[in-house]
Amino acid sequence: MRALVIDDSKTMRRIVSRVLVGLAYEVVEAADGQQALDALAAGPLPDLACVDWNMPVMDGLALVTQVRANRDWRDITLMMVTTESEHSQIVRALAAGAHEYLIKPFTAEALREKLDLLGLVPAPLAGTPA
Amino acid sequence: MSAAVAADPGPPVAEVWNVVEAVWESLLEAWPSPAEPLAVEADWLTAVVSVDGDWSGAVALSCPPRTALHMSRTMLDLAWDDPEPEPDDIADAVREVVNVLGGNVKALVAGARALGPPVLAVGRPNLEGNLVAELHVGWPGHAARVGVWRGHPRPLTHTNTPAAPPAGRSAHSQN
Repeated sequence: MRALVIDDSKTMRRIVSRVLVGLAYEVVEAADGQQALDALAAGPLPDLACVDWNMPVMDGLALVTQVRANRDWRDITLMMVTTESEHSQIVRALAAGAHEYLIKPFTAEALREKLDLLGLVPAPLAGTPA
Repeated sequence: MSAAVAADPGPPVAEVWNVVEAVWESLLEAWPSPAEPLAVEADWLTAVVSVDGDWSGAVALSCPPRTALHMSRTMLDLAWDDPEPEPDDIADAVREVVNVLGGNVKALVAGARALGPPVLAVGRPNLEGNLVAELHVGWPGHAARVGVWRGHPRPLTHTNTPAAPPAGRSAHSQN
């Protein structure tokens, strides 16, 4: 599976990517919404995009809106990963088209649980201990 | 501004401490405890994130350079024999810690709506307003100060890239 991790903090991109790579994802990173759109246009498309909210150039909510407006990208699962924790913000993101919402700070286990809910935890390879 | 918001001086210190614990445990893999009051030294790094809305203010995190280096190493999951992170990486890590602190503190205050971009400076927080919460945070080998201000933060004269830490000043080497 492929993932696109979008966050203006390189450190946070690495934290999210580390968990995803541990789940056998191929990960591409982008530092803002526009870079993410460029990566999507260039392909290949990811199965999952982890989207920060507050970013320069193009924020996460605008990115989610644009991705949802493109029929070619409708199969991408969008998960907000953000410090925005108020209920009203969560509702806005979900209304814009995000599938899941993970509030920073989070643990690796919390991220894995969200992916599990989304059916995005790859099955273990044959012969791999559970 | 509503009366309810105007009467709100800021988030309860105990709730800010809960935020600090959650941030330290998840981002820094450390279980913090209250530390003795700390004076911010001239060479410390201070990251500040502003909160705007009916409640406006700022959250600041100050720590020694070697603690900033430790934060970066931990968050990037560097092994003891990995090269030291670049100054940009250290700055990014400290900014992200204050960004997560700020986002969660914002959720504690009625009327706080928007979070500004985190900025980094060297030295004491250069902020106007009232200090409504101050926490001295300790964990093995390290300490930091977290402050919450109410008011309109004065623009910082800042650098987002601190000077590289002195050679051999790795947080790991001092733990």
